[in-house]
Amino acid sequence: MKYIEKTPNSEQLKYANIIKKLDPLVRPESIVVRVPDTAEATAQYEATLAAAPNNFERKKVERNFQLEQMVWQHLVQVQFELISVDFEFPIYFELIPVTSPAGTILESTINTVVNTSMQPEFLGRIFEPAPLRQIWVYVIARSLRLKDPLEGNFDLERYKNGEFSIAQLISELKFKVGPKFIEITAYREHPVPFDQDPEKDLIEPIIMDKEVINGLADLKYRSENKFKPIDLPKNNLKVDFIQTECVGCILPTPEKHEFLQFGDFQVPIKGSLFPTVKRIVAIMNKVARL
Amino acid sequence: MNDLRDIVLKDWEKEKMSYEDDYYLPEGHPSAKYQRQKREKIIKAVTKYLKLDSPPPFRFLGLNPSKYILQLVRSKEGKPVETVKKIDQRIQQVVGAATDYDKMIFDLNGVIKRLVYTDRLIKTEGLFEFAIYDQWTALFDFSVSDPLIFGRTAEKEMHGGGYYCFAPLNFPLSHLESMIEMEYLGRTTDNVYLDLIQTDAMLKIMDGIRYTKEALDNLRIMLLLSKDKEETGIEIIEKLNQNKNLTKKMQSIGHFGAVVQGLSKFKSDTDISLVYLPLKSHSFVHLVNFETDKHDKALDALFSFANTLQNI
Repeated sequence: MKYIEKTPNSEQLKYANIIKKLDPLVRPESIVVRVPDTAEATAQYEATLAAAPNNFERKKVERNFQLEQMVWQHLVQVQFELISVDFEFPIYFELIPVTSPAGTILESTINTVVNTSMQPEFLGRIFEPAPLRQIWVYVIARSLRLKDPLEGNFDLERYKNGEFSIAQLISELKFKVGPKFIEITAYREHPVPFDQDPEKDLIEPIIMDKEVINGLADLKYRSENKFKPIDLPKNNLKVDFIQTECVGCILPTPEKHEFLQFGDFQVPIKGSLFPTVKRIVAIMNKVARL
Repeated sequence: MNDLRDIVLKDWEKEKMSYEDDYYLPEGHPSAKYQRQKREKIIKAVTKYLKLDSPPPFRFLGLNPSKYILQLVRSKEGKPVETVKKIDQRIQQVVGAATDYDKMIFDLNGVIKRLVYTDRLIKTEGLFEFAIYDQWTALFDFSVSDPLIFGRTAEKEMHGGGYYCFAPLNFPLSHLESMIEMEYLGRTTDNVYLDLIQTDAMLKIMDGIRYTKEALDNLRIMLLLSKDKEETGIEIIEKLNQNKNLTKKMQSIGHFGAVVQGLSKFKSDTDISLVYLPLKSHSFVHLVNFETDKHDKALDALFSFANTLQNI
């Protein structure tokens, strides 16, 4: 979806004020608030409605559009910069709609680009009731075959102007692919120790960092919290237990940079999300400079 | 929880096991008696419903966990006592959980060519809450119209009840047919469908449809149409919903919110109890009954649906 600089509603404007106070190093003059450009989607809705073959389909198109409109009201993208050598590229706070059969909930995401070169990585946690443990384990999963689907979508120029929501694309990938790799990594019988895998050099300092692990533990996961969907307000539905949750990913751009996204189901943004991202970016830059 | 069956098998654990004809748990295992009782009840229910003197031809397929258990036993070597205890506990749990994947396969002569029974343990909400449901999967020897579902829907989460109806389902049948043709190299004969209906992959697809947003939303739209006193404009859906005798039978099977193991603590707004997927010459039907052991109601609903659909 495209984002445009249009007068935000009070709900959307709230986030600009939150970002201003997010960190003392935020440059207030760098803040740009964008909201979804709904014109294209509205035109498509009208065309689909006209083509509906029966009353059922017509009702379905109408209902889906109503639900989408309810979601759009909440979506916002806040671009900002930090007075820090670690953050060379703009940072985007973006609310991402996450859809489930029970309805749509929002994820607060922090997105940025780091000038280092790594393999794709997913960070998350898994509840493992079997076979031997009943604990949450944090897992870093790696997929070396992920480069192809990323081609063409991670253009840095597109990222810098903020019109196209790269964050939504990353989030989709994070939820589709991340949990699978996290489970494969968690359940593989003979995990490769980090010190035997030379490509783990860059990720190891991140996952060995106490501050990062504590930060990840403080995030709000769908596994332990009940969330009310924003598009079915009349229902008292709650999003179900999610066993494997991917909270963050580090994905390479064709320009050998890293796109980084971390999310938290705590809305509005607060808690450990931004400090954790800051810490991870600092470690990545430190290791890259060595 | 003390019940050993309260642990669900992971897919990767299941892959380490294999199905065997007439595989039963060893005598003395806590779940062995239950496994045999379950088998007898199903045979009795099918025979009684079909008004036969003796049971129709059937196979019993049990999931044999021996190989995986051997692997777990080996993993105990050199481990501390606490870990060994946990592995022993898991071995007991795995044996019990494997019985959830037992299959009873009946070969019949009517509109239903093959009938497959399995039960399933699912996690519901919270970390340690589970529910069991019966699954009846059938191969019809005819194919009518488009995919459809039956279920209940209400505006709020409830202990069952609400609006019960048939609804259309957008399902990429052509993809499924292409997959089947690729898998069986174009030999889409009766035997292929007979084999396919009992596979875990097909059961998983059919059962998985019940939880999709598309399917659940379609029932919610049916509720909107009913409130607005509007029709769907889809002939087969209208005819099925107008058949009160059929919808009454479909309603009588246990839907998730209504009955789960005799408990009423589970709530939901929308449940799907039947999924119908028509292919070129045959169709696959999956019916779920949360009122476990009430096989007569499930069979009555399934056969009534088959007969009604064939005559539409």
